[in-house]
Amino acid sequence: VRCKRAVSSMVLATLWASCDAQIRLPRTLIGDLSPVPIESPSPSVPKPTPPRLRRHSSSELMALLDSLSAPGTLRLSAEQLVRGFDNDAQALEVHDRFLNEWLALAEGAASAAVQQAACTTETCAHAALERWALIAWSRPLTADERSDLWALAQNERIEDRLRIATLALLASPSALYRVEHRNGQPALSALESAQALAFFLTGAPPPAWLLDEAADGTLATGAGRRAAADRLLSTPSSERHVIRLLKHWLMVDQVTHLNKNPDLLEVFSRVTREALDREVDAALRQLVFEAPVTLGELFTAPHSWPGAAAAPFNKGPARRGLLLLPAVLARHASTDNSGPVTRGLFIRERVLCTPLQGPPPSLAAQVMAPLPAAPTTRASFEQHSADERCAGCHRLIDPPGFAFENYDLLGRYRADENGHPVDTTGSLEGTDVDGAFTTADALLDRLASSAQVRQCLNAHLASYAFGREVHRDEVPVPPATATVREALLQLVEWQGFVQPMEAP
Amino acid sequence: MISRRRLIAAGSAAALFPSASSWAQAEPKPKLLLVMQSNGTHQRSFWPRGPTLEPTPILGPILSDSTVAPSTSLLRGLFNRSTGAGNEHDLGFAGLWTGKPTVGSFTDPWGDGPSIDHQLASALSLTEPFPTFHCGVLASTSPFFKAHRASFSYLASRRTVPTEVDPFRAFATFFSPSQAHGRLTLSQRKSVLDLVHRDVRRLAGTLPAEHASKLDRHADALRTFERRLSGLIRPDAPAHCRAARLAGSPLDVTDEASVPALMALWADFIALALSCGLTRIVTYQLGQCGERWRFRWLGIDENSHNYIFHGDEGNADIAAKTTRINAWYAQQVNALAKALAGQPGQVLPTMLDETLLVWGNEMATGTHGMNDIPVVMIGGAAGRLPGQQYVNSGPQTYHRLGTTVLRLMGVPALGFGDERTCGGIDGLRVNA
Repeated sequence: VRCKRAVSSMVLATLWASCDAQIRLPRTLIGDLSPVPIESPSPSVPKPTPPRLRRHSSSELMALLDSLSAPGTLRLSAEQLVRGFDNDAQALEVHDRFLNEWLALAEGAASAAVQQAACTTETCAHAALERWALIAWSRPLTADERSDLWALAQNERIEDRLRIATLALLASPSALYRVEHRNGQPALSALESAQALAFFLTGAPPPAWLLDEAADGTLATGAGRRAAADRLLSTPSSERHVIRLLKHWLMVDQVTHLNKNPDLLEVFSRVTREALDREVDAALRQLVFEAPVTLGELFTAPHSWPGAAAAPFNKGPARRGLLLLPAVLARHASTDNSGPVTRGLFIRERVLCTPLQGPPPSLAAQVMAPLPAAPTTRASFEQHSADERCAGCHRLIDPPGFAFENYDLLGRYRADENGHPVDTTGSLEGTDVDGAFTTADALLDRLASSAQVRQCLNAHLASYAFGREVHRDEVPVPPATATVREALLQLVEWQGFVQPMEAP
Repeated sequence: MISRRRLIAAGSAAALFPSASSWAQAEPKPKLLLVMQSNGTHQRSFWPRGPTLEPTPILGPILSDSTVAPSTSLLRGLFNRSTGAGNEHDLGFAGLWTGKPTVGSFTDPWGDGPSIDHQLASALSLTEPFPTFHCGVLASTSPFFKAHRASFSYLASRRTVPTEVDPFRAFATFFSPSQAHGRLTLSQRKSVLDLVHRDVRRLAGTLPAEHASKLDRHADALRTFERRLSGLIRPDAPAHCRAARLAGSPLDVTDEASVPALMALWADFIALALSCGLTRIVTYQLGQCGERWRFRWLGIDENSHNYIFHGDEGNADIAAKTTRINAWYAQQVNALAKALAGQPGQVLPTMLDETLLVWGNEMATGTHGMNDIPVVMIGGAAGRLPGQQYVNSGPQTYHRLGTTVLRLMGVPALGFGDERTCGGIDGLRVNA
């Protein structure tokens, strides 16, 4: 390993010295195949892990192009969402439509990057290609790879040779995928750990300094990963990414596309939806980065972020926490009513991680029956679910949804509905914070004190990090004092971040 | 005919043309257009009362059309009794064309694919520039409920192809000459693809089968892309394919009010793409699974899923609205068929003669009934499907529909999906 590092350093240092490159190269680099020792064994039993292929998501690939300083005007189509996230390892693959879009983008990006590099010598072009390989492939080129890329257009001008080589670099599977556990080792390799950290916390390829740390073996320890994550989280791009990640957790990533009853289009126009979307960004920026609060306080912190355009939607009593953002309330309401059942499902499944089985076929008639006419939405749904066979599940789902009945389908406050006072009372069952509540605020207080809620959020974060479903009991419970940043740091510090666990 | 409103056949500018095998064929190749509707139909208004194809309140637009009716057949009696994740919407939407029950959970079900479009692409080794194409209206954004509902085209289990919802973008992708007029030469592009192809194969050799199969599909996509490079310029391409362009302002593809205009555009685009040999299989979804359109353009203004389709079919108001909505769907399907009839076939007189259009539905009734799923077949399937058949041979599993479609497209299947030996539709005459 030391020998390889020395060779890599020498080659790269030569290239660095010979060109006016603006990107700092890592001082040492090792290949993907280099295993590094892992920290002390955990109580769980490590197992050999088969290699796992993960295609980078559309947003990760767009970030890759941004890192090349070659952002294009085109965008890749949105990915299939799984569990609310767009990076599910099983779902993502290279299909015809994706490839068509990516190659068009890659060609434009290659041209833009080459134009910016303005190389007139082969040495300069080689150095540029090496820099871009570190971004796109997260590793230096091997001699054979360098030779293959450069041989693609032997008789062309330097600029065209570099353009073609760069297109090949971006079209390569090394740019589109990362392989985890490539050698079947229980733990991620150093490079795999660097990629895992960078894509998890910044949604982009690892920067040069992180590759250095990978080469040094720094990321093999929890403390090393934590320190690296802390540095990653201090960048503006990470802030944007974490906000995006949390919007996916809340499932408000596409609020601007929310469809509601067209009668409401005037008040719920695209301009309004965009304002509500920006309000979510502002709230998350404040609660996570500017004035960090604990995970529990995400549900109870007073609304104090700027959001003038969204102000008409925030009328009424002062609001607290992320769940009372109009965008969140509107997203989980129905198209033409406040949707207490869908809001309740969101709380049960997304906030508490207590999934429920669906209704059996024998209840199809009850499920399908239109809501009965009733003075209020709550009364309608209560009649709808009155059948004792339905009530078993709905007594778990509906109450946390009813708690938000003070907010209509657009998230606007209402003290009454159709002239009848709104009833927000209920009781939480099957959680670690069971008990009665009378208002949404009271429910939020319960959620804020719940270890189950903190563990559930951790499971969602891990689900995004690993690109697969992660059950609540697979991950540690963050302490009550943890902020989002601290939860992220503890998650990457945890040995399970780099090593899938199996019960002893 | 190409829409006078937006699709305009231009002059002689070079454009994207299909590969050389697309014209002057001795034998016509059948094309496939699958149309997926949600929420079932009104059974009594859908099926003819007698044994012949008399127009009905819903099917009137098709069965009364002198161009379309002669090549139309109805398949009655199909049922879907599968159980799996989700409810009947999900089982039908993700199951009809995969032939398998859904997997996952009630609130997050997925098809256990691949769906028939990708089964066919694999079995037939299609050489069209775009072997399959999945499109639809208002189906790309995050569904209100259950993410799978945005697409019924599956590459594999739990892996959908995103639905293309923008006909303007589709038109640019299919007909823009940009791929042929970039800064790189054809040979340069091919050399890049060759290198990438080699690296994909190498990587596949290091991975377990589950991941290697993904890379096989990556390699397929590379081959398809490469064919597009070499098939761009065709001097002998029919005039109607040359540089057709899309005029007018883009529509808001997320606004329900755009639906009728979007459907008109898609009908023109699909017919042109098939006729010009740019694709052989199109899957097209009319909204999402369990769609909630309000159908304001029909004078209806209710969440149709909740308050119409879930309503009592015996209620006169519900029956009238369900019938009106489904008759409108029939008009859209008829417009598709007429658009195909307006395009010349590659061998037979019209593209409708060469195409098999199947209009299916995720369910039989809005109240989640799964017996008598409404299925209409239109078109000659390149001479393989006689029209004017009303198949009513009693209950048969929906898997037989998949088998029949596979066979009509040239795949000698014994069964479909989980029913590996179920055979084809009982009572349907096909030409060997």
